Amino acid sequence: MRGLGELEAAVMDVLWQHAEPLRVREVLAELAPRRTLAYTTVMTVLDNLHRKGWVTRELDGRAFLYRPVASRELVTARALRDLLDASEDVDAVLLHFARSVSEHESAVLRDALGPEDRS
Amino acid sequence: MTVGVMLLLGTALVSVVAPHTLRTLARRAVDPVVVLAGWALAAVGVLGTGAAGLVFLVVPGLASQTPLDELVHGPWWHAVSGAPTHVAYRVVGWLALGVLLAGLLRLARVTVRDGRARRIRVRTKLDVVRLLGTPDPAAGPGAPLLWLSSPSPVAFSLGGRPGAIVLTDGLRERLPGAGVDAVVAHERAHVRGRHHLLVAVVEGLARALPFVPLFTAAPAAVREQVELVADISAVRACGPDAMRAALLAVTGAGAPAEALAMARDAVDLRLRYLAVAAEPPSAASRLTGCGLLGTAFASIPLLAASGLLIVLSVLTTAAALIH
Repeated sequence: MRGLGELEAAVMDVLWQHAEPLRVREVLAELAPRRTLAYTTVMTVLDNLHRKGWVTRELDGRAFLYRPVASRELVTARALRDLLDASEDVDAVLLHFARSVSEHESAVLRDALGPEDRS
Repeated sequence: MTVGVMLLLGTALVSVVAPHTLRTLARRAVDPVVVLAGWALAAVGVLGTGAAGLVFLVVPGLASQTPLDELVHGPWWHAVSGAPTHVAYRVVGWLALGVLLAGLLRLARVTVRDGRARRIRVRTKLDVVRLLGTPDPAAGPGAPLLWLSSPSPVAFSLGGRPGAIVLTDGLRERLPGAGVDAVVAHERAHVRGRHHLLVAVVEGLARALPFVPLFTAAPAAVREQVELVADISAVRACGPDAMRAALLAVTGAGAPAEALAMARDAVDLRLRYLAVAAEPPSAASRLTGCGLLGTAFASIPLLAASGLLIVLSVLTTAAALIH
């Protein structure tokens, strides 16, 4: 399962590095120097990415042309907003290094310092 | 029957008193690991004694074979155990059985449902950050370190094994190396200590049994304490200066003016708290602290139950003598 995730990331990397849409064969060629993959493997990965909404595709002759739905920066910005905006019911799945601190937390910290430390 | 009622009263007492005690401990800057252990022990104690109390209500005969029985002196105990069996008692027994079963069922259902939803959310979030992030080749063992290309300085961790630590390029731009190390050490402490799971468990308890004050108070308190545990771990690994720089970089930038002021304030408080609390506690003092708290929370329901039993027995004996 983890291997497949890595592969998806590698394929997205290739697509993001190219301005023009790519065929399965071209993605395979780009990945080839670093890893040996079957054509069908790359096809399956691209199909998965399409199903998950990461890439769009259009038929060109007999093969699909794949391109990312948006630039890496744009998708990252969107994903970060989705990941961090769950502050309404603070998500137990995610622990932030520093989210906006609640009044209550500030009060706890202030009390912890004792009166002599208060400024 | 009486033992069951007393155990339930003791449980209710602890579930109301324990959150106050634990919050007071947290305010006194007690080692957060000890405070966390206190919350866990109190929760286990309340669940255990509550269930035991209900079982005693359902099967009153059980109580006569327990040490609680021996805590109460013989003659007084007879006054209690010789109390007449009313229909009301049987009704209470059936009610207790219903409450016990409903509680267990609800706990199981919420645990399963929340657990499944949580696993799905972790997986989708891991998918997203793995696809978008570039893994750091220099990262040590443990959770993989992923860099996202975003100008805003953000850092968070995802729980599980191996979990993931996610940082943005914006963070690297604003922070010197030691600051980034402090952030990573903080997040690693979360993943290593299974803080995500801990928070998820107390949130599950609060959702399953929201009428128990201890459980509704736990999530916020546990969140605070795990942050402090991770902070202390980061300060120990990278020093307070790196930690200060990291906190300021993450909370200070990109926020609206009033949020920024509050964040600065909070960072300052968090750092000064660290200066008070970050004295590395020895393993022995930690154990003693946990042990003391554990003993207290485990024994309070029993002691309360025994005390109430004795009082009740004395009263019953007195009533019998007067007649």
